[in-house]
Amino acid sequence: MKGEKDNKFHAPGTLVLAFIFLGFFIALYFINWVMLSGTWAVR
Amino acid sequence: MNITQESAFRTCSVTGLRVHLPAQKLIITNAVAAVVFLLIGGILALLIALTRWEVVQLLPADLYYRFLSVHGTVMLVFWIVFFEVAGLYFGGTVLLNARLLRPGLGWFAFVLMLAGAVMSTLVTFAGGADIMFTAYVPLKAHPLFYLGVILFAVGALLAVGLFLATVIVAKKEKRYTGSVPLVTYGLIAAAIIAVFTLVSGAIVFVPAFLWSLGIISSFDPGAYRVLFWAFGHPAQQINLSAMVAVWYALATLTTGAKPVNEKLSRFAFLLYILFINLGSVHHLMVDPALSQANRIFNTSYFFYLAVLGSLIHAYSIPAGVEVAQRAKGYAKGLFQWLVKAPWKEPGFAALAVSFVIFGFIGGTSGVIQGMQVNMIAHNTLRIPGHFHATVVGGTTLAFMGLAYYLIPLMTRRQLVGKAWASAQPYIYGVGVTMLSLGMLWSGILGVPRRTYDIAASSAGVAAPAYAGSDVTLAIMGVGAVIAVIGGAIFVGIAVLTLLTGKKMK
Amino acid sequence: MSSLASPEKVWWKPLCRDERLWVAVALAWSLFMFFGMLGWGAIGNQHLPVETYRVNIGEFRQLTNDFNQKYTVGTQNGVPVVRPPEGGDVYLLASAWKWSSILELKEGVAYRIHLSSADFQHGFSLQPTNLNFQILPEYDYVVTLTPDKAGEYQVVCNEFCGPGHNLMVGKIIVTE
Ligand code: HEM
Ligand SMILES: [Cu+2]
Ligand SMILES: [Cu+2]
Repeated sequence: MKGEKDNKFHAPGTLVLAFIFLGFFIALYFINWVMLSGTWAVR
Repeated sequence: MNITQESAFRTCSVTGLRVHLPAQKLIITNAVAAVVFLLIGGILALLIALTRWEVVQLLPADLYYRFLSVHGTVMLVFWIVFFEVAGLYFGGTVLLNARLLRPGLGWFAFVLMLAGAVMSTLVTFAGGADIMFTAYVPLKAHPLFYLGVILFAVGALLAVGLFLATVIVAKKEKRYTGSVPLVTYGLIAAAIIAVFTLVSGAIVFVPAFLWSLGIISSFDPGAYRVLFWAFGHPAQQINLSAMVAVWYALATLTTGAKPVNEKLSRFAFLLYILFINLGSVHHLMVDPALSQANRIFNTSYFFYLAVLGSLIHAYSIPAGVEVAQRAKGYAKGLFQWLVKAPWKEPGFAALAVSFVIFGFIGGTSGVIQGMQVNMIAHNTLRIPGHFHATVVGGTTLAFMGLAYYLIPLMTRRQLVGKAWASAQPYIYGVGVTMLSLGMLWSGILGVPRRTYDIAASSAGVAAPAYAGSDVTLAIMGVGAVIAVIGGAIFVGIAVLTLLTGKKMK
Repeated sequence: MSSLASPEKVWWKPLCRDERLWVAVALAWSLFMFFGMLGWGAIGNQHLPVETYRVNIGEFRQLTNDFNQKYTVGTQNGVPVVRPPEGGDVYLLASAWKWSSILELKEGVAYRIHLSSADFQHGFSLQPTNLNFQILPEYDYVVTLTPDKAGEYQVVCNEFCGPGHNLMVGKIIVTE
């Protein structure tokens, strides 16, 4: 049930910061895979 | 004196916390040992960093390898673990309003740890273990090196056991009601991971010790690596868990932040306990002998659920600060709470800087370099670049921030040089950021770690050019100097407070 | 209530909207990364090499000597320059502090490179293209590499292997 038991708090700034961080993480992730793909084929 | 008696406690006049005096002594002693090792490691850090900075190349080759071996062990094991033991005793007694169960055992553990640490440090300085802290077989060190590490690990295991027993008895004795505080919960998570870690340490170092004595004739190098990293990486997860606990503590101490959701934060710690040690396999990504499935499954910490734990903390900690700040009236727009945060408070500065360096540089690089990407990162400077952002910019700085509160609270002396303490996290942070980025970038260019001189070669084959590494290594070198200055400021404040700080009532 | 004190009695509360959003996105990203690793196996060209054999040091040294004898085409500074048959097996033995040969490979051809050590652990670090593998004594680690561009490459040892470690530089020559 929602209502007074619900854990309500107001932190919109944090959510924005968290998504900025995630965006940064995702960008680094893909940059690294692109770097890897530039090297010799390995198996 | 009966240590359970009320006379064994004092009440702190500033915080109202009740402090068990035998625990207090142990906390101070372990913290002092930690700072001494930090000092030794820091001096060596400067020397080896100025050697890796190719145009400076301060040390001769043999001293570089020797000091690198000492730096790794002294920092990663001795500084961090001594401080963690101090933190555990604090979280298990002061925060729970409880007594330390067996102070005698605590002292026994301390003596073992100190004896072990001194032994292996001296042996390494004397040239008996120029083989790096990883001690990969079949490189062989003097038996006393292994023995020192074993003694230290046994001592640490006893300390962790004492902490866990203290927490259990505190509950039985109804020293606190309901659940343990979140910070203690995080420390318990760290302690559970520590048990796994230290047992693995024994499993790898005891046979290595016997092998160095000639009692065992050989030690399979592949098996050694599996066992070693079942110790070496989980040790970092202790640091992670303890650091996150310290972050929560600093957020409360400096802004009055409450955990926004106890359930979610505790669940995130639980994810650490369950899955994070699987990730140790990322050290073996490009080793022979493991199956593809093993590598991919384990290095992902079970579908990256341990990373999910970290992402939860990454949200919950600033959210707690934001809520607390908004309640104080800093509610304008999205970020007034952040702008008006106590940036000049040493603990908040340490929290913020540590949080950002750990998250943006250390955490991301660690997760990504543990994938197939490891093939372009393994044993390059990318690796130390990653872990100086986690364990130095992250854990070490967070611990420094906590020390600014722990030392006055435990010694009843006023912090000496508060203004220096306020600036210290920023100085250290800038230094470590440059150090880490310089290393990461050099590693991207292919520069190997643990290598005295990247321009030298024998057999007439020219060494690679590593185009651009002159710049990236300079960034590393300058960052190292700044970081060491920041570290020295911390040590100076800690020592001066301990010796000359004004007595508080 | 704070992070330093026991929480109120009941702290088992549902997540609020922002938290649910963040946890859902973070979980999605975690799973994405996991399947990304699996996916690279299917779509990428760089697979973690897994082929491994146990071998004793003398045996591997013999294999390397035979290989060198058969295919040596010259020497540079006393190190044999070896041109293996296209697509064949290549044996490269690391020992303190040298590589058993300089290899001459052909662009675009896959070679099975057997890596092992005669003494300590070593590292195979191919520069400047930047590929890195661990070399252990008593393990024959087969890494199948396909050079993508002609030129001279260096093989740097990047696992600490004793005082001469940083002198351990070898070479691979890739021809068109
Ligand atoms: C002022 C701070 C510091 C500086 C400037 C610094 C610098 C360095 C440098 C230059 C290296 C050598 C990299 C290489 O040549 O491969 C290194 C290695 C290392 N550092 Fe630090 N460091 C600092 C603090 C720390 C701290 C606080 C820790 C641990 C808590 C730490 C743990 C390590 C470890 C484990 C290694 C790897 C040793 C090895 O490869 O065997 N460092 N550090
Ligand atoms: Cu080598
Ligand atoms: Cu080497």
